[in-house]
Amino acid sequence: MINYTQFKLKNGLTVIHHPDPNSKLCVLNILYNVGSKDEHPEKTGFAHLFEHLMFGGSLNVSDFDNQLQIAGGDNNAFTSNDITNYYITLPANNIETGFWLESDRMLSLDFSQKVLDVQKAVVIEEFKERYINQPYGDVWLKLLPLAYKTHPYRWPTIGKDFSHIENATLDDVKAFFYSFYAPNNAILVISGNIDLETTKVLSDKWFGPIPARVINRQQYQIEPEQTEKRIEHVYNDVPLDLIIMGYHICERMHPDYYAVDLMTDILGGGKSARLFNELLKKQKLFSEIDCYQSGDFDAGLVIVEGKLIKGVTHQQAEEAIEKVLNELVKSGITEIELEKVKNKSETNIRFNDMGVLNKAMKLAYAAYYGDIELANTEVSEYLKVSTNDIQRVAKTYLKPTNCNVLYYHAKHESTK
Amino acid sequence: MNQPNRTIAPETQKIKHLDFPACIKSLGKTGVSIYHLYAPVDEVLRVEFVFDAGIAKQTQKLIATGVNRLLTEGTQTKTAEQIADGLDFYGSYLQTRCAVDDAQLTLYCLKKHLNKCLEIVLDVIKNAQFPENEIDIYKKNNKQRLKVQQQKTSYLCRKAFYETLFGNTSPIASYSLPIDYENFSRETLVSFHRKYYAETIKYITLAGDVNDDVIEQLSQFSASFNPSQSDNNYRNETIIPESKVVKKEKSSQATLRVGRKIINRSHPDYRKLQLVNLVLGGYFGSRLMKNIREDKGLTYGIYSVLESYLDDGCFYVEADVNNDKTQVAIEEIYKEINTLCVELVPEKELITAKNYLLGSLLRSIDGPFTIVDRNRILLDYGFKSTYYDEFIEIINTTTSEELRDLCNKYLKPENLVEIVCGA
Repeated sequence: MINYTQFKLKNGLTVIHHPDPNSKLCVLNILYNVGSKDEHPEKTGFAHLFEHLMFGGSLNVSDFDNQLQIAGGDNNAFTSNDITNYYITLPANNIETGFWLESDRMLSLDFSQKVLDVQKAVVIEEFKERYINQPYGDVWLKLLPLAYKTHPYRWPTIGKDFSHIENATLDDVKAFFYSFYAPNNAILVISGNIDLETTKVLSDKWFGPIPARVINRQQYQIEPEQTEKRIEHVYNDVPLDLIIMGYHICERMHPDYYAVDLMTDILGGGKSARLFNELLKKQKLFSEIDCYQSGDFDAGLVIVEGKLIKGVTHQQAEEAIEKVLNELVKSGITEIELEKVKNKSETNIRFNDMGVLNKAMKLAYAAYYGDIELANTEVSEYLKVSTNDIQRVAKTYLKPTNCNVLYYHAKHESTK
Repeated sequence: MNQPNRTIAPETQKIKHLDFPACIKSLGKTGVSIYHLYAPVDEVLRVEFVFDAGIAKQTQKLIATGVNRLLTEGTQTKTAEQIADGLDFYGSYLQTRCAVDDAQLTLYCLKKHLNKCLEIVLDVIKNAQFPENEIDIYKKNNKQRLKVQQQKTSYLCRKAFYETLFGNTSPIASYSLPIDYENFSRETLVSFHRKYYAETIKYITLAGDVNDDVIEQLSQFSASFNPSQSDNNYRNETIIPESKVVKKEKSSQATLRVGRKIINRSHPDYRKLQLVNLVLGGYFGSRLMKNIREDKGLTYGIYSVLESYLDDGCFYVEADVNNDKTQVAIEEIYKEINTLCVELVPEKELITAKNYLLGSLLRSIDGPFTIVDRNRILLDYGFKSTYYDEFIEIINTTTSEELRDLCNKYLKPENLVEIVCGA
């Protein structure tokens, strides 16, 4: 149980307070409702580049990280398809430094050309390090545009291509800031060894004077229903063949979500899961295999991903996976299997609810989803799922016509 | 609404005390140590079963890791699938880990299921069978994984670095080739298991919602083992480290490491050397990060590391950079180290680094699991429970002169080797 108090400042900033008197720390987590899905299709990777720029100096503070380190704090941030999240951890009695720094960069950045140039270079190196100079690093760059034809989930958070990052200008940066970085587009969570009264006073003092801004969000199209299976071949200099299959699923707040999530655990969550036992252990077709869902707010994907044992063809691998999925559609699951995945969810949730930072992020996400109580009701939502629900969602979503397959081929010496 | 004065930083307080929480020790019937730490986390428990079964104990490559991974793949009465099913049914997780100095199983479970989970874990540790079929699957899949690793510049660079520093008979540089899987027989696994897991255990740790009943259950569990007695000396060959370039065709970046062998945690200079390392490349505000990432944009990340093992240690700087920028990056690394050897760290920078380090110590004892992790360092190195509280005092009193002298003593560029792996 995570206890919390939620209130709103006059400028529209949502503030959530969670006390933890056992901790010596305090966390300031701020979630901005802007992610890569809000980008222009010709300027992708921008939300993430922008996240880097948030550390490059604000109106009154030129050295964000340094000031935080002086106060004994640490911070980081991440960008997803849906949101950008920044967090600061400080010794509890130095938390005001966090308010000062975080509010100043919400008020305004100092928009320096030098910072933009350097961070463009850094992000391009990040692009290479994570997506190019890794075997299979480009899988998402290939799979997403296959699965999504209209929705902005069709490009990854890092962007479609370096050139989009290279072309970013200071005017783009300013426009993006004033479109999305505003108190009325953010959720602030304060958790740890701090009381509600102090939280209110400090929030008012530092964030209260920042004016609300007009949020300039472009409408995007939802993804139309897929009507036939899509297959794409990729050839690359990797040692093993890989297959990855993506099935469209419901959005996060859809009633099917919890059943879909448990379904992926039945199929791919660890060593007692069906795909692992049937295809890796018994049939020995794969050296690794997993199944998970993408965790997006809008309709996301269930992914089945496996590396093939040498000599196994993609067709064999695909048929074998489909057979396991069809069995689930046809015969459903047992009560014992259901109890197992429910128990695992409960353990997962309880372990995740430890630590002031995890709790702060969970509250921020729940508020972003539009139902802060979700931070506490998740367990009971999983418990409500029945064996029939699992079979029903399997039937609804694991259809071949809803599937996008990437055959990732290892280029062998002989074909070079 | 009035704007606050945003041009002046709010006042901050310095960390003067850590009040490091020590684990409480109890002894099982046979003398096995059980260390526990209570925290108000409803139902949540982590149990670590630690064995003197690390890579340092193996006489043949892959064996220590292989035994550790294959423990859960079948006992006299249960198949791998039944073991996994049994643990999963109670919503628990059993992880295995094999390091240079020890090996362990870690159980994450809810208190209400501890009893059932311990039955399975005890069976796994005592009665692992290493079925041939499971060994075959393990070999085949891991050979495939190794092939993927061998495509990564970061892996190849790391391997070359440890091999040149420690020699490839050292447990720290115990990297395998696909061919090593050929010598991997069931008999070798069985005898390693008998010697290092079946009868003796190093210690058990318990963290989370611990009460007397939980401790009693673990005490019963421990009665199936004797405490292990072990020395931690590695078989070392004398080796002269050399700089090296490892070719990896068509890579879009190169990974580089610059470093050397160095003192480990047991040495009196170590805690102050941690501060030198921090200033150089140990945090986001470090000189390397500021120069090579934040000023020149040559890399996504550059950091320096002190790595301590029970019988050895090393220091290195690592980064991924464009192939044509490796020389610039290496020159800048040496430039920063040289500056630290010659010039005093300015007062303001020193205070920032100290405060950051103090804050990170505080963060590292937030939550029962990380507190136990810290306690294990004390146990493994034989330090007193006052070690971390003294650390605060040491950090607060270290001077710029001492940092300069330590840099000269340990990090002089002429004593470092460079490993570059790229196109």
